[in-house]
Amino acid sequence: MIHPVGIEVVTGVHDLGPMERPNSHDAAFARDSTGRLWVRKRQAAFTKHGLLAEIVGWLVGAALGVDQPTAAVAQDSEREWSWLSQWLNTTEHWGEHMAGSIANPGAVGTMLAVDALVANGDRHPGNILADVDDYDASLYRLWAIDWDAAVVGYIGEFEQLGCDCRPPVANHARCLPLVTLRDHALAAADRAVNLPAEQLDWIAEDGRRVLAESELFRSRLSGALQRRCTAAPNIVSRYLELIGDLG
Amino acid sequence: MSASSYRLINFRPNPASGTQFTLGAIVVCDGGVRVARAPRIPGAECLGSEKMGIAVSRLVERFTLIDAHDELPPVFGPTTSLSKPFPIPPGVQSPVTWVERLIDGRREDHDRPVNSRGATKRTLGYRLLSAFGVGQYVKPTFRPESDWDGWLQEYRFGLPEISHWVEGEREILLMEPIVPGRKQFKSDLKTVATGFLAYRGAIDAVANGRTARLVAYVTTGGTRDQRRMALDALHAAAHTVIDTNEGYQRDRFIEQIREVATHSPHVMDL
Repeated sequence: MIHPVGIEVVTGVHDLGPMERPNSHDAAFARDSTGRLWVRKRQAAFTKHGLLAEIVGWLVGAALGVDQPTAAVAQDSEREWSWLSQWLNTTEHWGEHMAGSIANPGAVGTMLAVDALVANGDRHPGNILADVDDYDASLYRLWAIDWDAAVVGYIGEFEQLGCDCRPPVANHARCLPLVTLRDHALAAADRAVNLPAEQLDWIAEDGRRVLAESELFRSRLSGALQRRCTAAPNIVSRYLELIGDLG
Repeated sequence: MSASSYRLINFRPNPASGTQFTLGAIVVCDGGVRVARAPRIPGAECLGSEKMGIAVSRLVERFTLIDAHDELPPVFGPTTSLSKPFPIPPGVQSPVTWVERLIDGRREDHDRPVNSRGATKRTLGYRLLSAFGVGQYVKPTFRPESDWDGWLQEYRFGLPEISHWVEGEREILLMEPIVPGRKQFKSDLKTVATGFLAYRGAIDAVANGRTARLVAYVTTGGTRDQRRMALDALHAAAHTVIDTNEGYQRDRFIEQIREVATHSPHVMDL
């Protein structure tokens, strides 16, 4: 029996101020009614496609074991949705000097596999948070953020993609230790092959529910995800070649 | 000769509290970009955790990557931001040194060393609670003769003042910080234990439907042995002893402060 792991819906969210960082989609700091701190991106700033991509990317990442901040969605009084990502206050962004000191290579390899599956080519350094590792402060624990540019946010384009990869952005995070990460990414691809169809269906249902789309939409998204997961070893392998070519 | 200017590099660990630490500045002078480093970088004892102290020292190491006057390199995460540009007065001979002195002067008191003169245990504790984002809920100095409507007035002669407190509707938190790095660390333990034991008697005796929880919290710093000593010494006197280095304990403590304050009759004033 697969239990649905849905995106949490949070209430009572209010903004605390802008994040003042480039490429942040007008992100703001926010707090919910229980005092939790979030980075909030409003749907208007990054479209419903970005919101869908965030939801699906995060849920597939959670299913396969990516380290990523807790996420949620919230709806304001105008019924506009926001994407919320847990505020982590000891992080910086990926830097090449970190390559030899990654605390969680398994989760980072899995991140690359999920990038390949949801066709997210946008893994630039700003989309990887580097935290102080809790067990060994000389290491960096990497967290994946921002799936919003993934093709999965556009259902028609995602279906047409078949088993192809989305070419990564030119400023893809450099110096990721692919020799180390490759095995972890391929292992994650094997896990993706075995993800139950029911679980992918729940993920598609979460996207459908938030976007208030039709049952047909859920069925198309679920089907496309299942096809990608079935072909995951090939897709992930090809994607690793593409980012390897970038250096 | 072009005008010199600077932009402060600010670290903001908690957007809810608004607390900022200036770590340095990007200085534009002599037609190039240079970096001023804050003479005193806040350590774990000011920031609230060892982990955050390490995170800040890592950010300062990244200063060598700065090469633009108007943005930080991508490696600087969302915790850091640049201020607007400020002019450096004409005639300043060494702009970087001038900015470093300025940062030191405008430095807020959170980063004063633990053993500095004048930074009392109470002040250090309050700074830490502010860094945790709950400073607004914390009142300074509980006076048993008058505070909370003189709840413990009858016992006032046997009770010392408490460093700070959080007011709820039927319950208050009476809180004492323990600073392991202080010279007076051992005598602090004795004083707090004695005071708390006296309060225990009074709290048990007073019968008016109100109550208090006695909370000792150990701030960052000191040795592991000192921290353990603090926990051992106070566990019988306090209702709760918190080691703020421990993530779960710290989070629960912050949650408890918020929870009690939420039930304050003065919650709207917070």
